[in-house]
Amino acid sequence: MNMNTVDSAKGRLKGTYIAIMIPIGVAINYIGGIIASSLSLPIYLDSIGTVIVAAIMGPWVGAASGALYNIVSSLISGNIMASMFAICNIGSGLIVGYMARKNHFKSITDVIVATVLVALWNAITGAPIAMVVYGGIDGNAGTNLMIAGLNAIGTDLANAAFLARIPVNLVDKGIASVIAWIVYKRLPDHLKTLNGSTIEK
Amino acid sequence: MLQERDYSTVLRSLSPAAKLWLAMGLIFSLIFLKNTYYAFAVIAISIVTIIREKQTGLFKLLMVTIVILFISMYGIYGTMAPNIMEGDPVAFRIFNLNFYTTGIAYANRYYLRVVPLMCALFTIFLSIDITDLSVTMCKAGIPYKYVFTFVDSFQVITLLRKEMEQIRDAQRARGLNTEGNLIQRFKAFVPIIVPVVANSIIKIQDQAIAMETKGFNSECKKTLYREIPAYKWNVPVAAFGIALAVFSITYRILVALKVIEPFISNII
Repeated sequence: MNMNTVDSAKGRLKGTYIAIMIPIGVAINYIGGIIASSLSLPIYLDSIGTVIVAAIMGPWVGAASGALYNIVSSLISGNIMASMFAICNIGSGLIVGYMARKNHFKSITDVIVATVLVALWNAITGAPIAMVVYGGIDGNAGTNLMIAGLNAIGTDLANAAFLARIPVNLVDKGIASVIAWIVYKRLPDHLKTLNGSTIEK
Repeated sequence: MLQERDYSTVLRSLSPAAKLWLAMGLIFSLIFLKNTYYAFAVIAISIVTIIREKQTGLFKLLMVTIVILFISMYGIYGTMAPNIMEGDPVAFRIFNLNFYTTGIAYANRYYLRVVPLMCALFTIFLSIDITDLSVTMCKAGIPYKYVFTFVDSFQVITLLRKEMEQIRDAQRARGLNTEGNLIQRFKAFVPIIVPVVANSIIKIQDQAIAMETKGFNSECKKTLYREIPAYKWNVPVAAFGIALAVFSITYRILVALKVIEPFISNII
């Protein structure tokens, strides 16, 4: 007989896990950003929580965590326009979440594929949002320096805003994906199936 | 024990709903009115309010972002904004770089939209009590689970931040170098973030059980133990916020349809 236990990945208890994991994802994103700025790193590091929550809980919970992070951080800083970057984080959550659900977040090759997809999505969506909100640049020194460099060699601002975000996001999302993968690999089996995947024996 | 709330100033005495309506009015007006004088007025009023609220310590953190944005925007756009044409007048020169008036105007357009919003909303949101906000959200009909998730995010950030500081200090005591060149600083990131992430994930099962035993999933109606006291300025402030938003949207639509000429000069 199947019994629902506190480890059940289905039913009402999953709702409790979701209510716990979304704030944790938001907080990890926020803390990642704080550590990155306190170490004066030229990247964002504010999507680690989104990727981890997406890997553990699935695409839509990951996307919700990413979107809520952008809303909460824009409320804390007062920069409400920056909440538009939630589109980037939603995409990151959906990509990693679906990969994890289909058991494609198990090897380092999977992590590299996830990193490339997430970095491209963030560059494609981040550049036009930055154009609307800030005119092309943003609050990240690394991206701004690359935009200035590309602009100086003749690339127009819109293209520079896109091209500068590719290497920055590859490093940024690469770190986020590797940390999420390490954490996900070490989870007990009952937590690994919260994303809707099945454990392959 | 309930946390005692501070109602010592007008801003702190306002209900979260009134503050949110005011914030909405400010957002729409700064985006749609596009006026330099109005933007500077909002910045000045916000700074005065921050000083009166004695929040200058936190405002210094915001100032860092504002200064970085200033240097980036005016530095990059002033010299190489997309609207700069050959022969445009040079406003000034620094380190052999020409800063064009058209480039500075491009920087103004974005900087004077983002910074007043940051100053004003920082002041407003900082004075919102999160528990009061959750009560307001519940009374507005938002399901308890969504309210819990939203409010819990702020609480988990505070907890995780304290934990991160402890882990960082502990790692430094073990010889972790958080300064030096870029590679060393990158290497310092992992020993700080991984324990923070691992600790928070380890606890989720215990948290789920604790919440379940406290009836998080029970289907009965949730009650609220807090009441938001009425305050005489709640209604006027909320009405002002709504009026400001409606006026700004109407003004922008009428200008776009060329029904009226812009009577507020579009300097930004």
